[in-house]
Amino acid sequence: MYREGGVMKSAFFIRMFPKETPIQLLIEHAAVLEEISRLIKPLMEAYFNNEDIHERMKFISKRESDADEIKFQIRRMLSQSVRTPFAVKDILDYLHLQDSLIDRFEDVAKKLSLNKVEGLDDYIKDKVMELVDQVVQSIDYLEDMIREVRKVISYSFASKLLKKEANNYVKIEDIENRVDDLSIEIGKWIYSKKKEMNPLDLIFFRETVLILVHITDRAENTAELLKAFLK
Amino acid sequence: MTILIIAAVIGFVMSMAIGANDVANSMATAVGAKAITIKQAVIIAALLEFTGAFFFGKMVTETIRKGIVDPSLIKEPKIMIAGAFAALVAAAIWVFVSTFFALPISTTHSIVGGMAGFGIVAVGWHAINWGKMLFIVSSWFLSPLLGGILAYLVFRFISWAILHREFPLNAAKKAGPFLIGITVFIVMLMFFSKALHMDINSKPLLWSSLFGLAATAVSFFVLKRVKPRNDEYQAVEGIFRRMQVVTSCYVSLSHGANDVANAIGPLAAIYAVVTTGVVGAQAGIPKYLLGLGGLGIALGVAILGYRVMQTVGDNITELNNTRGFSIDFSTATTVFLASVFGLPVSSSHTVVGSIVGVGMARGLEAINLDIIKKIAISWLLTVPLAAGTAALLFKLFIGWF
Repeated sequence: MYREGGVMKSAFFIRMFPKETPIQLLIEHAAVLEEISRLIKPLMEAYFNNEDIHERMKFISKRESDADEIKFQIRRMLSQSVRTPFAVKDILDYLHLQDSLIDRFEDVAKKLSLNKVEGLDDYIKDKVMELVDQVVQSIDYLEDMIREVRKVISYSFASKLLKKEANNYVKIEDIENRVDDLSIEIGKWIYSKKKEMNPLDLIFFRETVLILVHITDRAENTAELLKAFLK
Repeated sequence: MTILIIAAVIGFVMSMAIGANDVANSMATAVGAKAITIKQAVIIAALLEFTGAFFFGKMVTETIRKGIVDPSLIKEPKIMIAGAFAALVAAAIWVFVSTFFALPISTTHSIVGGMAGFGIVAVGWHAINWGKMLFIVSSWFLSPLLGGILAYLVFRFISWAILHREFPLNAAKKAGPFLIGITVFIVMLMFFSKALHMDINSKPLLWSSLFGLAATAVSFFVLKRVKPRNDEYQAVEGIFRRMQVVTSCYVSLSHGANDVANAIGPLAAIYAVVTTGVVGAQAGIPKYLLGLGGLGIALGVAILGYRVMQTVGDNITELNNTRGFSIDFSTATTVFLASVFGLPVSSSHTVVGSIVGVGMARGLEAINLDIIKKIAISWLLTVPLAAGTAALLFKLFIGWF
């Protein structure tokens, strides 16, 4: 009378309420993003200390592949008529943005493994570490936002919870402003070294910093999209 | 007499299959929302399914017995016996097919199709009470729709009256007793109307209102004692966890009332012919036949319900109690109303409608709408297939009687 994966006619309950939901998977995907973002700081420190970062880079790539698996799973679910309180397009757009953040972190790790920049002083190292801290912080807030979505649905989009989400978005916006200021300071330092340092190193260093800056920009865009479709 | 005993055995086995198959309809959301344990779910369902079948099952059973095929057009008793027996066996076959392949085929649709199938073959198209049939078929579309609309409105009401308030716990303490009062009012009204056979006039309305008010007052004082927690929303869910026990009972009761007919309707038709010797006699349905169906459903729940609930509970998304309450309340009210009008509706399909209703109100984290396509297909196929099976079986059985 019983079959694996289905219990009589009641199996329709199991099919209607999938154990794994697209929102839950989005949260898992965001958890991987947060994990990777936290790996960037020690990676950067190791880079500045002239340590080998190959293994760290490989681990980040592996986690990026894991995140891709989750991404495919979400897409599969949505193509199989699994619906959430949000439009499918909104979820896919959000997923795309969140996934691109992971890709950018992987880009940073891969890029750093390509070249060793000579002549970085403590001032710029501190500035970059400060930038990394801000980037990680913005991802933390973003992860908080997506984690809270389950609660928002649970409590039927109560304004209290929506305000909390909006506050997290404002915090990310503030971080983005600070990151802009930091990027100007770092930029000035880079151009001040045009006669002292290898131009290729300077271009390489500038590109790496810009990826980090873009991560915060994109984190803000991602949070903005999330805030918009939560209404 | 032998045929009556065989039909009783098949009807009993079928009622067991109905109990085991459909226990999830009443208890899955409560177990999924951790409102009750599986063991409690099985005990409550078994008792309430029996009560529903025994006290409230007569109207729908009458519809199956004589509402689809006009008994006055059947001249020979053996035609009615063979036909009802064929319909019962055909429906039983489809119950087991749907069970084995985990298809959302409705037992209700199978039995209605089965009765119609034999009627057409035995007498002709004119044997079918098409007006009644149209009413029944339209109820199959209306019941998920009504369940859905009701669930949408109930959940919207909970959102508006409780979840969106500045202090949701205090709001729940005020709105919760009101919802419990309504539930008790409807159950009592049905009880006076169906179990005590009273006309719905001012007297049952007054008594039902008094019971509803009493339930509101009692729950008001009980809920007043609920202490606030760190997370007010969790406290609200805690209140609905208790309320959901009431609505789960309500679903079991209404399911027993409506679905007992699927097993007992044809049996009642055979009983009427065997005991009176004529077709179309105005013999009533003896209580013990409804009791037999109720017992079968309860036994099906007791024997197989635990495993069904365990698998369902382990494999579905954890549901909030506010959602579970909305789904249960709407399903039970729809099925109960259908029972009052003697309409055999599918409780499984009504649950699906209610779930979709809450989903439409943005109440569910995820819902797989694929099942709706399968239900639509089953709507189109079940009745003709069951009718065809019953027609073939009738041709086979008529030679034996």
